[in-house]
Amino acid sequence: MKNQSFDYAAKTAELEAIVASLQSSDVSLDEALKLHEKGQKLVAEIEDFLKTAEVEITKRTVAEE
Amino acid sequence: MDDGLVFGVSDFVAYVNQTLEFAYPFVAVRGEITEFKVSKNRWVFFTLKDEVALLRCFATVYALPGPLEDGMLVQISGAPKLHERYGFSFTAQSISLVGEGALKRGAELLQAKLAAEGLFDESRKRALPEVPRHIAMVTAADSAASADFIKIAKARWGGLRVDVYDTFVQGEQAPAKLVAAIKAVNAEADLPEVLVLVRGGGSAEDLAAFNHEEVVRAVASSRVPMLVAIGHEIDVSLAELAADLRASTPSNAAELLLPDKQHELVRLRHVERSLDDVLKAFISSRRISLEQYKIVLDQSLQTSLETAKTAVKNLSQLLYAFSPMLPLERGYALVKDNAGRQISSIKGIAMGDVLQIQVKDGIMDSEVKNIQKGKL
Repeated sequence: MKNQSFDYAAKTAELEAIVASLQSSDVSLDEALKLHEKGQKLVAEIEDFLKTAEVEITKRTVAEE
Repeated sequence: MDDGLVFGVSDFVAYVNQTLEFAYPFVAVRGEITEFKVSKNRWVFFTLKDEVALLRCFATVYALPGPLEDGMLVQISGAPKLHERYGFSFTAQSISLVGEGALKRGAELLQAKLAAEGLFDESRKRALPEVPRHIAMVTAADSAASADFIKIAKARWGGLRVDVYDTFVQGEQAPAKLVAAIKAVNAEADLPEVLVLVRGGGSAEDLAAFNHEEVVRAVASSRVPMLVAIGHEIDVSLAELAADLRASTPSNAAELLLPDKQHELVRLRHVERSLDDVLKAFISSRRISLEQYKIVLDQSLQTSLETAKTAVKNLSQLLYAFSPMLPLERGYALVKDNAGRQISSIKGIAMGDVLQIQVKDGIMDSEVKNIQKGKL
């Protein structure tokens, strides 16, 4: 299931780190533009996950002792 | 004397046991506990009674639902036996508490016992993952409780794998089945992140399994963190106290466990906007610096220009001061030969040479008539 390997916690943390980097303005203009682009890509990925990911149910049996 | 069948003692005992086995292979008996004692932490002896009769009983500690005491009403399941030496006795395979009174008292006793062991300590409780991706659910698979949990889970989140383990959540077999299910989850190669134990509401007897010592111990010792949701209003079961997290109902369990994708989408929009705002602010602050730099540049350029202008003005004044034309303005004449060269000496001048005399307002040709040496 494709969306099950999507690490939502990690991706949102990455996005927040990008915003923090841009806010600190320790980066060059060039880097800032690249970060912004990466951030937009992450936003799109995360949005896609939130809108399309599903819950998958599997029935399991307990072995009789 | 009648020649009927005559048995030896041991034979008779054996035959009686055969008959008992045939007639009562497995029965349930209900009564009140008296003379309860546990020996060597393994053997349990008590007498079950009602208003009229007594029944001596034997069991191992594994049959116990928890600590018991005299006066409790219980139901035992097992078989009667005529012991070779010790007489008639009932061997109980399982013992369960009957009636609210006994159930409540049993829970109290068990809670005290397990609390003393530290099973309910806050420090033992583990945090559940913020965003689970793989969980297990132990429940009665076709129950409303199970359906509630799944419904809320699907509405809230995705990218989640749920392994459902079907089990009994009430009745005599429930404790053993629940323990087996919890152990099965813990034995999986691909261990889930959370084990959710879920059942709906019911009477005190329906929920008895969740106050059974073996079940509570299984919850406490689960390697996989456990979320227990028993949907009832009044008392909290001991399984819930031993869990890492407790939910009041199966729906509440899904809410505690999973984020809400609608909330997350709103949060994402905010982050998206701050991403843009922050970039704009970044560029703005850079632009201001650029403006400031431009102003500084202009100013320094202005200054340089002024300095240059002054320098040029000074130079041109200097140049004018050294101009050969200045003496002419003052009334002197400039003398040149016919080749245009300036004459400043009599040397090389002969009588009759043509000389040009330049004065401030014109030029005259002249002929040398007389040469006289000496300073004047």
